[in-house]
Amino acid sequence: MFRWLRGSSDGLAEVEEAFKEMLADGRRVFDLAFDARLGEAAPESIKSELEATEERTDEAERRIRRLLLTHASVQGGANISACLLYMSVAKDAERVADLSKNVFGIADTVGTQPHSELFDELARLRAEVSPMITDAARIFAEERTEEAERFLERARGLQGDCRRRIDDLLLERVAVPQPAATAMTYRQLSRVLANLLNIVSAVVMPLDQLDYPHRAPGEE
Amino acid sequence: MPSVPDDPSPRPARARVTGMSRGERLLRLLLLVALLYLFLLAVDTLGNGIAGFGEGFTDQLFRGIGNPAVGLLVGVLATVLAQSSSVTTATLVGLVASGVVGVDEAVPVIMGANVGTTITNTLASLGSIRRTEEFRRAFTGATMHDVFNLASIVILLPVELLTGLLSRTAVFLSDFVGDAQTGEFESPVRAVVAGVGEQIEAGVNALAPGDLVAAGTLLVLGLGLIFGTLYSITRNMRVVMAGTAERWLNAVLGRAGTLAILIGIVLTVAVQSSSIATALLIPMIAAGVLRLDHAYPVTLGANLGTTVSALLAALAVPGIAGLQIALVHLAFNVVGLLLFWPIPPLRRIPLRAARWMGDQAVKRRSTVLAYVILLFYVVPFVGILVLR
Repeated sequence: MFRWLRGSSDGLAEVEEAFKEMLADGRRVFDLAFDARLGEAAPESIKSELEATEERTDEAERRIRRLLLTHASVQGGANISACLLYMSVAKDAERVADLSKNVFGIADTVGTQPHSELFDELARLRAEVSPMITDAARIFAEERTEEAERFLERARGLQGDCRRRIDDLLLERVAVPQPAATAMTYRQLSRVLANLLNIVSAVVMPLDQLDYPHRAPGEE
Repeated sequence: MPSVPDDPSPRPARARVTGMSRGERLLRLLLLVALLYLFLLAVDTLGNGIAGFGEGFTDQLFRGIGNPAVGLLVGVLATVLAQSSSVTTATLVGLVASGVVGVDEAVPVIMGANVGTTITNTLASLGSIRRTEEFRRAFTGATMHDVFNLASIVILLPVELLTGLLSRTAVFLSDFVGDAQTGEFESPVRAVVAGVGEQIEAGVNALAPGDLVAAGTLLVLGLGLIFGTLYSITRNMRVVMAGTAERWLNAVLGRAGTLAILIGIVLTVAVQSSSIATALLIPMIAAGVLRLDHAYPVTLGANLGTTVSALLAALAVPGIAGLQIALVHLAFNVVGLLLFWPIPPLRRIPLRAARWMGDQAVKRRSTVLAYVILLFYVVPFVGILVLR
């Protein structure tokens, strides 16, 4: 009966829903892109789905901005920090899909990752990171601080693995076919993790520290 | 390096935003009922105060309002000063009901109130004055309401003066609920208000040293209560309606039409302020998220929604004249909407004029201040002095 009089945070509930969908789409783009890169699917067979899903995340980000603007117009400054937060994490979610699309772009240009020790490592990393995208959405939605801590630690560890491998490739410490494409694949993976770190860090860090989750307040 | 600061005091960015509890909402709705009752009582008290002055005094006080231009400017100035057309129209209902101002004389005042209420939008648009494109959109959105109301007046005031279209329509409509010939109108609400109103009047008369002081006290009390209750209703309902308003405004994004008009009506009725309802649109227009032609029907709806204040006030006053002027307000806005909404070429007139004004405002920003001061303050004030 009083549905029309629901509470004042309803606009943000819609934003949360859109954000969750964004990350679900982001994971789908990620999976499709690595399917192509790891030779599990031909790029041309998944291209249209991948592009449509990625475009959906772009539109979702724009929709979130519109919703936030309406929210700020109606509510004034009451929820301004929440608005700023969603602006920030929506960009991160959009980047997850965008960076994944870059992996697809690599596959589309140079083809499948050649079989080597790095192929297995990339397959392992893909298998680890893919569910982390969904985990990030859940941890964010449910504000699970302890899980967030564990997630941040794990994501940083995986980022470190990517960075080390990029260094190996740049310094030619490993010899693989397609070294540049392989380094770029690791780079995109590392950036996906960085964006997930930003999202999850919002559960435990104040607003001004977002995107700098390795720093405590006041640290230079 | 710690992943989380050791000091737990910094609030995580992701801190849940809690909505209003059911208990708080219920309390606010009860408060609304109490405020509405006080508002009706205020209109009744105002009428009692005016009646207490006697005919000679009030004739002198409202001398000049018979001139339609003066009436129009009084409506603009009173609304600008009160920052609420609802205050002006509700007060006017009290004045008309007490016989101090005739329905015909009050029509231009009602029209002026429609113009005065748009100042809130215009002031809201000034917040973007330093950012050119944003300001162009904001000022265009704000003046769209001005232009629509001014255009309606330019057409309907002469028509009203020549034919009495609006007042005759109001008299015709009032005949359905009362007797336009004898002036009788049995308001179901008046019975609840009149008794308490009489007690207040008796109490003030008993305490005041003279009749004029008593009348003045009732007048000030009535005006103060009208202003205070409408202000409180608006504030209270803005909080209660925030979530709903958000959903409705999101529905307007990307769509225009009858739904937007309905949203404008309901939103304005709920918050009892067309100024607030339309001012919510300005930041969205300024940001480019809400298109001008999508905001336009919301504005038209707000114009209709704001007529409810006068209709409510009319329920508290004796006789049918108060209801008639409230119906004039409704008729004016309905006819204005019929003029400038259904036919696309006519619909585009206020939008084009507003866009032109937005362009001029960006080219010469100093003229914006002149526009606000002249339209809303100087012209009404000087006009009243000269023409009265």
